[in-house]
Amino acid sequence: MSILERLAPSNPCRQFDDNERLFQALKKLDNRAILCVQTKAMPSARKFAQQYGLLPDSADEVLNQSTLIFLRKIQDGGYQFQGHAPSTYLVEIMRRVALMMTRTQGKQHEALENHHDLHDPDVEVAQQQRESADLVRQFLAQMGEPCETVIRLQHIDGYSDDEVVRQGWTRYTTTDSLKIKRSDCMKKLIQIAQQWRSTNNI
Amino acid sequence: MEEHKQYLSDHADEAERRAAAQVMEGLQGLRLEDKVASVAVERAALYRRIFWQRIVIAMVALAFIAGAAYLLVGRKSTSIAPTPPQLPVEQPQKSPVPRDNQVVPSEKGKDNTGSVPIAQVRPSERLANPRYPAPEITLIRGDQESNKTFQTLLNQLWYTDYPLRGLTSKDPFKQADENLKNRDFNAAYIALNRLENQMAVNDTLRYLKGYCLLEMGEGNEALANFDPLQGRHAAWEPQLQWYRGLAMLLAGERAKALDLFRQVKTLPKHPYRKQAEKAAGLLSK
Repeated sequence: MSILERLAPSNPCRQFDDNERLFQALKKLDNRAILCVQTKAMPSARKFAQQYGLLPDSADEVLNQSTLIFLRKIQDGGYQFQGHAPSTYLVEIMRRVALMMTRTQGKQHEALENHHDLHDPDVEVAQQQRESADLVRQFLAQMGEPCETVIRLQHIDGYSDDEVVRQGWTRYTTTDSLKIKRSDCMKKLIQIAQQWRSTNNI
Repeated sequence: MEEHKQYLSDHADEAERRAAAQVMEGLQGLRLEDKVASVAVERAALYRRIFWQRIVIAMVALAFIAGAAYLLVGRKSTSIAPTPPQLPVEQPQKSPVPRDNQVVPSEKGKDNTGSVPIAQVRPSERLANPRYPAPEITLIRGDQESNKTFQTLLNQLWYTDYPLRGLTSKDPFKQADENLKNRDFNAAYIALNRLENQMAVNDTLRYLKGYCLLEMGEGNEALANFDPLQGRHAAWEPQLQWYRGLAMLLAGERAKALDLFRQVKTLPKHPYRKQAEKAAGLLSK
């Protein structure tokens, strides 16, 4: 990290002295850590958007989509810390995402000529996960309250049961009652998903 | 995040396991999407902050450069500050005073053609013409030849500018200040008279009124306001001296004015030294 980066009052990387600390924070989905790698990777996102003939404001989309894949790889253990700056891995993902976006937009750009094999497993897994996320969002809405909130607080927002009970965000006043309710709700959610899969012959 | 297996029934079949896996994948996806969306909002705020930081830094840098430029260049030309630099350099004119032997100091070199090469004349040493003409004396005193000559002399020396140096016009003087800035001296005079009726006479009022009367061509009246201010405000003093000199000229006190201009021109750091030198040259025998 350069001296200027350290001195800048709005620098999100200030608290991450080394790459390992940054990686550990990313594993915990720490907002500052994500912001840190994103600010480091943003210039490359702009460069790729330009290089692959995407719209100028596509850089943000490239960065967001790549960050999703990047975080999932960290969560799944697909990306392990090996001493390198995490942002370099994000930049590599961005290059591939920008390439895929170029393909989906039907751009005939010279940058594509050197990439005959456009099959990218990471991007495809991300696409599959996005579809699953959309479905689950629909199912949750279908279930309604209190299941939607109970599941969201734990599995999407990442709050602990203690925190949820302490803040009084649900009607459940003990962690045990909250866990029992969530278990019921999750079972219902899985049933809905199973039903949807059989209806659609999946 | 909890393991999805705990939500499966005791004899879960393959279809149920796959549905559970899809649900967990979807929940993880939602969690990551939410996270990335919230970071995107933070990122936008961060870039806005960085943008404004850069604006502030650029402004500070500009102010610093302007300050440095003022120190390097501005100081040299302080003596000609009352007049804009783009005005043409004054051409030698025949003196309006009916004495043939008077010479403007800066023009001496031209009389001795060849003694000082033009290339050695520093631009900051030149004194441009006054920005504004003197008040129309011929309208007040008639258009006799002597008045016309006097008018020409005044036009050559009318180095006046506003706001007055060292004076900050506060709230009650806003109207008069605005009029003086617009060089609407009649309106300014009315505004100042109104103030005179509303408040005790003070130095600011005197100075503004003196300047207003000077620009209206009322030398004696201007002097009556300027004289009590002498030696009372160090920041006003240099300009006040020059304006008193002009007021003396208007009032017909030519000798007194010449004495004053001679004093001023001997002060090397006086902001009106060049003007005084020119005035003394034009007025002296």
